[in-house]
Amino acid sequence: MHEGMNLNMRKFFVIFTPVVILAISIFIMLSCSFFKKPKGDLDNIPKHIDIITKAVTSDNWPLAEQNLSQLESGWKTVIKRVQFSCERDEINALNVSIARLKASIAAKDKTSALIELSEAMQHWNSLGK
Amino acid sequence: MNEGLVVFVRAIIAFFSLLIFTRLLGKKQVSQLTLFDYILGITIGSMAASITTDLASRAWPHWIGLITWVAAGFAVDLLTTKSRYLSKYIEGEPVIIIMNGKILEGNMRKLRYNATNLQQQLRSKDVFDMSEVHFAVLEPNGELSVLKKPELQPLTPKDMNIPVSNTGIGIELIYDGIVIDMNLKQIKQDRKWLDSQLKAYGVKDPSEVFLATFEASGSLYIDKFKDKIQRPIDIGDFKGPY
Repeated sequence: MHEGMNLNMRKFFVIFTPVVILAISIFIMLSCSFFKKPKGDLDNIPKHIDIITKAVTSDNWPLAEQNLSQLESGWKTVIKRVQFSCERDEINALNVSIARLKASIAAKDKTSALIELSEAMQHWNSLGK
Repeated sequence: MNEGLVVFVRAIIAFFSLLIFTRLLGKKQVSQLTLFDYILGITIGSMAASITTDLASRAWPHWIGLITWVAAGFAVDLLTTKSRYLSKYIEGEPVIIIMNGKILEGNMRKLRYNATNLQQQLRSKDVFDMSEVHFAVLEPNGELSVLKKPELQPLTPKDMNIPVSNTGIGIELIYDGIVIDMNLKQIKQDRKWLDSQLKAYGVKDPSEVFLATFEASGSLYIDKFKDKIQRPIDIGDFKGPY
């Protein structure tokens, strides 16, 4: 009976091990949308983009700058989570958008800032699709 | 984005996925693969490489492509096993090229197989004289199977009425110094018996043995780690860098 149980245990692990490996692989590959979700306020990218948009629209440049630095640090945190499952091109594109947004805000260029904000939001939404 | 780390993680995913899927596809020697099996292997490998290094796109679509090809290959294997009709349709069947010493040109023409190909494959089977060939069959994997004329086949003990001892598959009892108890049980023996056998060969402990097999004739083959060969023959014929 003891040998029978050992055989059953071995059979179980023979099937269980590859299934678990494949399940973990699938989870990692599809985890972009899951890891995109904010864990708190700091890494809430859409919220930061929204606040900056409102600040730029109402010409509140100090608020826009403040939220921009929060957006940058939040995005750095999110990249570490989503880099395994999201496209590199979208990640790089969002990096570029944020860089251009920084320049636009520094130059107090409302038009350019709003364009970059819209593009950044688009890249964020495309991540994991 | 740490591209090196991402490639590492994706490589691990691709490696284990490929390991599991090829295990599912089963064993076939490289020599038994048809042209399609060979191309399937290359395509699957290419997709695994894309999962690893193509950071421009997500790993998921490539993985889906990989599993689709593997599943399709598996399905074709299963169908051809279950149905002779489908097996003939998908994989083809062996075709006789030489029958009773005569070349069947019609069959060769259907396969777009010419005399040069035939002679090349016969030479690879050590047949340099076409008159030696009784039958030659072109297999679905492109190999040529050759049957020489009876009077030219190698002599066997049966032809000479020589009795031979029983042969069979050897069972490993010690592998790399470790005793395989499961195999000892299979031959209905135990460690005490094994120790007494090893003693007769001057072995004090199983850990001294690289390989020990129990042959069908009842004898034991033992190879120790210390072979007492002072200077193995160097078969190299060129003084290289080492």
